[in-house]
Amino acid sequence: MKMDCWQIDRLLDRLSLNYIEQPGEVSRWKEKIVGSLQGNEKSHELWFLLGSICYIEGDFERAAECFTNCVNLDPFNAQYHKNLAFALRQMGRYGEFDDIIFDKLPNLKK
Amino acid sequence: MNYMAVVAGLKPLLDDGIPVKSMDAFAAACGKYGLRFRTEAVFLKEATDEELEFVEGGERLNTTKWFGARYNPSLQGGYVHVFVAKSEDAIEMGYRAGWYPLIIGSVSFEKPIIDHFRFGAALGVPECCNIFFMKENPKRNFLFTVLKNTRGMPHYLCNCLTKDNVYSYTYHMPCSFNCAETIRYAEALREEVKKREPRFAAQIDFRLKTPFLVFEEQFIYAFDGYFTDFGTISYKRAFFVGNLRNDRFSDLLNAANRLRILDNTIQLFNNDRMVGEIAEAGFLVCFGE
Repeated sequence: MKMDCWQIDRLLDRLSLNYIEQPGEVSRWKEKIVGSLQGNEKSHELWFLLGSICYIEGDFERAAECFTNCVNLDPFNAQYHKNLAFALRQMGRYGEFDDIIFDKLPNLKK
Repeated sequence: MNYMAVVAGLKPLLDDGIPVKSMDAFAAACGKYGLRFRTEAVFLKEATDEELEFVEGGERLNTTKWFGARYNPSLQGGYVHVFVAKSEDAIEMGYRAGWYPLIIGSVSFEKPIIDHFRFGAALGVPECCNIFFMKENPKRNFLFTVLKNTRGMPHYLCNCLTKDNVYSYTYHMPCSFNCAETIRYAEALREEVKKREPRFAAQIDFRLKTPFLVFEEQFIYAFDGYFTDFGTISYKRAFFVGNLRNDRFSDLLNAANRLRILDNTIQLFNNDRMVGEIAEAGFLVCFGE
């Protein structure tokens, strides 16, 4: 599955809205992505999509695991670090959120 | 008004920006009214349009365009983002979803869109309004969308146009200008205000019922005047309501005493003499009960 950042953002926006009104559709997307990850464990895009869906559903621990995989696979992608930060914030790990947002991200360079 | 709503138990949580130097006084005030608070980041300074050109993600920023930093009590300026409630649980719920898209260094960070819904819920925004905001806010001129979603006369208790100054009962943007849930909330708050400060309540009521010219959020004018016809108002004075950086028309509007909207042009008259035109899309609205 190859999607550019704009397409991913649009998809996540739609899934967020759908989750509020029709949570079932989000679960269907999640199943597809979990299936796609079989044999594609190095796809950071798929981990990002799965992590984002877990975040939408409120499964922040699982979201953080997925985003950590993203960061490990593509360490200079700011969006992955950012989303990991927000998952940590939702888990009450505020110090780690601050470290990423205020220290790591502004200085992230290849 | 938000503080009164939280103290009265009508609203679970509010968030605010407190000058760094006023934090001690703020803490004392919260203690006096039985409120807890938690600090978050500092809004250091508002970004200029020139500075925004060099900000990664700057083009996506909407109404919040501020440089930010970690909170440090020894900072000389800026505003501390605080979450205020009577209960720690309410603060926790709001804090987790309550990040604003501050610019850190030269990058702006926006939270996941679902957190806008979670934050709205934590603030006590009615569910209908929260869902409507999620669906419609990405479109340009959300307030016009609210107007289009209004069946019948806009109700003054749903007037959110003055929400960033003291003359307002509601801080959220409603799903329509006669949303029943918003009216219910604002009426309850109005009763609390009337009990303690009846003249203040009367002032708020008066200001909420004047005509408004709306360009977009934070770019609004209120008029000491009245509708004479559809799309036409006569007035003595125009007042800017919003972020001052957006005020472009105060002088022009105050050179006139009548305005008329024709197609997408705002024609300005001083008695019968035309004194100017504004070629920008805006809408007029007046609230009743």
